[in-house]
Amino acid sequence: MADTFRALIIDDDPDLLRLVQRTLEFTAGWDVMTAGSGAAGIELARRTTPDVILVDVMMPEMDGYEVCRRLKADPATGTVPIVLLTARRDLNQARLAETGAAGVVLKPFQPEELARQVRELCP
Amino acid sequence: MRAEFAAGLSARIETLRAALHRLEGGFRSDDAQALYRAAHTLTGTAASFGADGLAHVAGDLEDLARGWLERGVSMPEEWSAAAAAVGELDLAAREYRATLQSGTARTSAARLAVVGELSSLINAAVDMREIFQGAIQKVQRVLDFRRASVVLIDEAAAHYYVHTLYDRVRGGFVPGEAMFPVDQGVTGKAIHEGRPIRVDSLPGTEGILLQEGKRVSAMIVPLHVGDRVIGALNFGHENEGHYTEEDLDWAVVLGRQIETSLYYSKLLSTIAQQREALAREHTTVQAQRNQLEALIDASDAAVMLVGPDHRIAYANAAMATLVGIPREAVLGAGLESLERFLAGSFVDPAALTAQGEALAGQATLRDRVDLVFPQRAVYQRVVAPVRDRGGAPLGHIVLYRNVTHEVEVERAKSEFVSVVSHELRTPMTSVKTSLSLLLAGAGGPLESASRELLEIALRNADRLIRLVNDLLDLSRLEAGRMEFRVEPVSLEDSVAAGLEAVAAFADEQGVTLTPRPPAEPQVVLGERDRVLQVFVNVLANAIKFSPRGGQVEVRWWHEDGFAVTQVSDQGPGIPADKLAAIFEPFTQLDSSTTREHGGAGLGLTIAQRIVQALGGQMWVESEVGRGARFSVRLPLASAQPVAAPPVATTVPLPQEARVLLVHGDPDWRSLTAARLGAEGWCISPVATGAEALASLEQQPVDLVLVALELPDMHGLDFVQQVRRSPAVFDTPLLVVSDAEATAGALAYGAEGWVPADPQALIGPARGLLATPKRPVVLLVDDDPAVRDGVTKLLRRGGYACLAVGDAAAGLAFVRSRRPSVIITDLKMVGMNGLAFLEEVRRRPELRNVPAILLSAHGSEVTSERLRQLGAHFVAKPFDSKALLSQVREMTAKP
Repeated sequence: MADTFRALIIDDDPDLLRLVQRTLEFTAGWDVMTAGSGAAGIELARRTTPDVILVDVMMPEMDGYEVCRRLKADPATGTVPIVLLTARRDLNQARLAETGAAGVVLKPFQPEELARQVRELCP
Repeated sequence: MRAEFAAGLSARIETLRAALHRLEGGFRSDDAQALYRAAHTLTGTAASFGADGLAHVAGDLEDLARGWLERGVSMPEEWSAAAAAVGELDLAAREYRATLQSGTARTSAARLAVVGELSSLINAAVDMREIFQGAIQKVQRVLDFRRASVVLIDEAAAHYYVHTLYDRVRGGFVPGEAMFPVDQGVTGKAIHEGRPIRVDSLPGTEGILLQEGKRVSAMIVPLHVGDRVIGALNFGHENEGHYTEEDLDWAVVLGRQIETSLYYSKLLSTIAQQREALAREHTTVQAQRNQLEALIDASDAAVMLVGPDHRIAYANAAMATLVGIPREAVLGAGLESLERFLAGSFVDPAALTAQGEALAGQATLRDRVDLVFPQRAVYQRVVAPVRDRGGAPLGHIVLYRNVTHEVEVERAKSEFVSVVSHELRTPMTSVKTSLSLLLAGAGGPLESASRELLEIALRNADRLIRLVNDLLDLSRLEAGRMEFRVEPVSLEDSVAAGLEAVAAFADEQGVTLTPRPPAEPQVVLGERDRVLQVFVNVLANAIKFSPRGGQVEVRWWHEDGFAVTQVSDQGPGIPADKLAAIFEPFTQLDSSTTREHGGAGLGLTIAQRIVQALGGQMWVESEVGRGARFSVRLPLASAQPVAAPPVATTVPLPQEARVLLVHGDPDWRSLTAARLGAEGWCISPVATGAEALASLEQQPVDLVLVALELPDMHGLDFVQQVRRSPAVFDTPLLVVSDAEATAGALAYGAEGWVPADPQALIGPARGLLATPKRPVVLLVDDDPAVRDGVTKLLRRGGYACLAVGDAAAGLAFVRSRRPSVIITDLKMVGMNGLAFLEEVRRRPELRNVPAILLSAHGSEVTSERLRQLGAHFVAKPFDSKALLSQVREMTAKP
């Protein structure tokens, strides 16, 4: 099982968290971990070093940009590609570039396309 | 004799002064009596010696003393008046003596001439220095002095300073000198006591430098302006004992002249100053007024001020245009003539009446009115009382602003949101219903993974529907289009229902709900469902922000005609700078604090708007770290009975009910059929009005649910056709639409309106099926207006009415149905009302059916004939209430 692609999803909406998890497990056979807040996600990422981290942009307390910045600043997680998930079409591009995220996936996404989209964004 | 009188005056005045002084220490009637007697004697004597001034002042003193004797008490302000009178007496005595002496001495002639010259100088001069210098120069001729000066007291009355100084040795007028404390020296004494002083020997008067061991003499005369001592006139001589009492008398006379001139000079300069100040003020006010008027004229609003005298005090150019007469004619015009000009401008004449009432009262009128002049437009109108800064009423301001464009924009926006919301709601309903059915096992047994995914889908469909509902509510509230059926609502019940609605959410969040009801039950005015919505939103918000294990308290009480409900939480509280924004839409969403219950942060906004629309207020108090307290204030229903709660849950469930669904959307039909089928009812779904009518002809049903929009006709036309069909006219009908359509449904004869959500319509449908059938009334009349009017009247009265246009149709109907009451017109084409009733009575089963004969010509039918036909006569035009109560009476009989 060492070859299995491992993803971490960070989102404050438990329903969406579960659906993204099921989507990636079901369509791509990934090993998916979930975190319901930025802080929990950062902690989990540091411990497990996943292959990719999907982060929701709009979250209470710590938003996706901040989560991204902290992950990038931490040597333990700095090299993990990060993909941002958002429903907003009017994202601040400058801010986005600063975060160092690999790219953005817009919600709603096509479930069967999600894994491929994320893979393509990763270097 | 005169000379003796004059010489004794000082002693008399001293007597008066002493008596007065004793009285100041404490009132004693013998002192008052002594004062009175002395004053009385002086008055009489002075008059007899021709000292009129003396007699006058002594008379004043006499009056005061008499008053004290009569009342037995003296007042401090009366003492000072009396003291002033005594001072006056002293001066008057000196003047009297001076005039007496002037008649005898030669020097006196020169002195008199000086007095005369002084008078003319004084009348001409206005400047104080000019007066003083002029006076001193002239006085030199009649009084011998080394120095003469005028000293004045400063404004703080703490010092006096030398204003004008003449020094013979130094050759004339010299600059004034330093200030002296007002209570120092003989000058200070004279000023303090307010009376002239002559000093024969003193070590030196102010400013006179003396040789060692030499003593001087001086005279000091206080100068008064009004009641106040403002300074003194001083004379100093380098020899001891130089001045006589006669010299002092003259000095006093001169002092009096100077006082008079000072008085006039002050008066004149004050007047001049005031005039200048007024002119300056006028210029400023005029400039401000011009600016303001320009500003008001530039505004697109028509503005006028109606004064308390009901005349137009001000009107801008736009107002003149609005009234339709030149501005000059508007200004100053009376309210009545203005109203005559305005009368034709209003679409609704009541709007002008409302304005008149507002102008007569103190309440602010703020509304929108339709005008036809100067153009057809909607105007925002404000009539409000205005007051000046001091609170004095200035009248009323009347303002009109054309808001047609705003109204259009608001309407379009609100319309858009409304349409979009409805469009969203319809497919969402299908999604939700499908998911519910799947979860209920309609598609077969479910794996737990499938169930989980379906539950997620259903939860989010609900969230979406809530959001859409909230948006729709908000757009209606903002457009003022939400209609409220205001009724007395029990606050206890509403709070209880609100708590019940959020109980599951509170459980999930680990929050305890604690209601703290007052001793007395409270009843407010509102719409039950909307009041509940307010409480649910406020409670959900409180729960959402409560920590796990926290408590949400609800209290309510009444104050000043309102009931206040307060919901307190133990959440983090709201920072002061966020308090104002808490009721703005989407405040929560921006900080994305929530995704859960209560939608997208519209809950508080909607709650506040509803409360405001119901005539209440809603506000929040909070401190960071100390929770938040939301208060809802609703008007109390005073002594009105509480409407009974809906009884839908208690009616027995109808079995085997046949329900016809008429709707163009196949998804809606199948979902609703599935849902209603679960009730055990027999459902027939059809898509069009034509199909439905055909189906009804073949197979009558217990209930029809019909969409407002059908593919082939309007739902309300369908309702009307059913109501006119003799076979099925009394079938219960409910109109289905997303938007509230109660009024239209009732107007066309349906039983009411239900929302399209299958879950939501089931209650009303069940209730209607359980309602007893309406008694049937047959109406035969060839006038369609009467048919229409009576049908509506009877429907509102709880009857089902079939209206037909001729006797033949009526007879056809009674062959298959036995109506509870028959109403027929007398004069009809073909068979008339009497013949019709005769035919009816031939049928045995119809013999006892009560009948009403309508006619405008009562005399044509005898009461005998009526009795034979078993008919009651009602004259046209009939009173609708009377007709309805007649029918009621007839159906109430066994």
